[in-house]
Amino acid sequence: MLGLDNLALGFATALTPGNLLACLTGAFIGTLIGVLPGLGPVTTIALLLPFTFSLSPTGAVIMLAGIYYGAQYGGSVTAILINLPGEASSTITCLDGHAMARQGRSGLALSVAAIGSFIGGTVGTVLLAVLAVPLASLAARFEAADYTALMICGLVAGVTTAQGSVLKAIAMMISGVLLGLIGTDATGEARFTLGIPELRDGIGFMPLAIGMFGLAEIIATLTSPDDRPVMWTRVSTSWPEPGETRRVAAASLRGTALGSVLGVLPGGGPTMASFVSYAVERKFARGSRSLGSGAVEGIAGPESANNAAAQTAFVPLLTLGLPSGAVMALLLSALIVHGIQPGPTVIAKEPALFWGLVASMWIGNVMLLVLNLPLVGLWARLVRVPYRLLYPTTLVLSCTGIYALSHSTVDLVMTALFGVLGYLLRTRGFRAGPLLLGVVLSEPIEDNLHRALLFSDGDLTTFVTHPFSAVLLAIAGLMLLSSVLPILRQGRTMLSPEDR
Amino acid sequence: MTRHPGLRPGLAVIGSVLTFAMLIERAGLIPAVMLTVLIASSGSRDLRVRDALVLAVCVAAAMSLLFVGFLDQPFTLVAGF
Repeated sequence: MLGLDNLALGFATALTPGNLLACLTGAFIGTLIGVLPGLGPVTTIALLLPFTFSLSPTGAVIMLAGIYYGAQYGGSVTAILINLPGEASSTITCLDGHAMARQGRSGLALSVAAIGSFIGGTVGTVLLAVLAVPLASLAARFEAADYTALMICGLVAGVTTAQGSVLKAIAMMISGVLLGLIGTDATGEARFTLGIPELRDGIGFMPLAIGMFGLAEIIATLTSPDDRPVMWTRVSTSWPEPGETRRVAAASLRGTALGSVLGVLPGGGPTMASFVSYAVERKFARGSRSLGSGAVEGIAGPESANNAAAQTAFVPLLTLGLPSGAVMALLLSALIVHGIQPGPTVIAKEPALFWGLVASMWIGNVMLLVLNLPLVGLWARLVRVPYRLLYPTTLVLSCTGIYALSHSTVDLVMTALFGVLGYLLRTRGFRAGPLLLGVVLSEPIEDNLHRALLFSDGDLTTFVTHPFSAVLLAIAGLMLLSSVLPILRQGRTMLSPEDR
Repeated sequence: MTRHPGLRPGLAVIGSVLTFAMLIERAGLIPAVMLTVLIASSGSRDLRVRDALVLAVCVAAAMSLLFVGFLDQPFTLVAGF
């Protein structure tokens, strides 16, 4: 289980100079993009994927993971200082965080956010280490039918908790699965390629991801009305009031527990965790300031929750090969490109990778705590970089990165097309996250479905006779029902900006 | 009162990607990057032409350093050289 030899291997791997540098780079870039509004972990990870090819698989995953949980640290800086969340998961931090800044306590707010994030991140990492092996051995008993059911369940979970209309999310998810079919089928025949030879390998993942997320996001930001935010970029130091330290600790622990659970669930994630934590803190916040007007619980709880969720989000990915969201889907493709097939066998086959990653997460959280407390002044100044300088740089970086991958201008044209598509869909309430999930899971689902039916000689009841499969499909059915039923009665929207 | 941006941002962003696609092989990395930055910048409400020009040069230099210098990618910097 959490054997000492595993930990020893993990730290030995993580502490090599190359991996340490990867960890630091990832954490730094993560905080940076977390601070900068308009640039998020999904776009950045999609962007940096090609650059990770020169790294070892372990180094690549360490860096990309660092970007993801690092962004959860950085997002709170702008939330507190200028009431603008750098990341969706820091939206709720704006409320009490900015209130505290207005009261002249921005330094304390930033410290609480950093420390809360650290607690959440560290405990989340420990949970990842503890849960991974038992979960993986459970999943090792899965057969093809069970895998199919598992992934279908993952897809359903991903859409029933998606932002906005569930029906639209389902539509996007199905479209993604269909898009994933383009290319070559199991017998080697070209499928849906419209005679275009470049499509034999399927739709390029990079053009899809960058187009639908990055480009669409940029266009959306440029077309949205501009609010001049009130800037409190001078950071003041202040000390906690009596009793506040204890309240911060309590709120952090509550947030960590919540975030750890919500991070594991497909479709959950840091953003949902932060919102739920805030709702919980409403019941617990005591003291002179009530929640919403500068209570430390309003920062500590959600920030711990979002970091814990970011760590435990790796559990389904690394143990079952199941991505719980858009970012995890990207990491899944990154692992595949490096020749690693995520699933229950990963821990056994690549122990250095897995335990090295876990150890690096802990190291990364320490680095982030150290980076964030003193460097806050730097981040505050960085926030003032005007968007009109930032986004062309991002664009060029994206284009060059995509071209560097394949030296194909066709990929660039596809990126542009997906950008248009992504933006048009977005304005009508169709989010790209479920589509991305569908594309990534399309091939595994088809493969496993094929094998399951081969084993059962075409008998569909195999999905019911396999106990794991039956349970998973039942859960998926229940989730679908519970989210579609209210729609039949009235309109319903659910808030979960995770897939931005 | 803010001017409504209309189609300008969308055209600028998409146009800049297509510009890059057209120029990268024909003209090389540096011209492609510079024009891409300029066209992309035109999508912003706060366009300041001088800033955009400076940005174009800086980003082109940075990309050359990053991709060709640091990452060793086989890009032609300017076609014909």
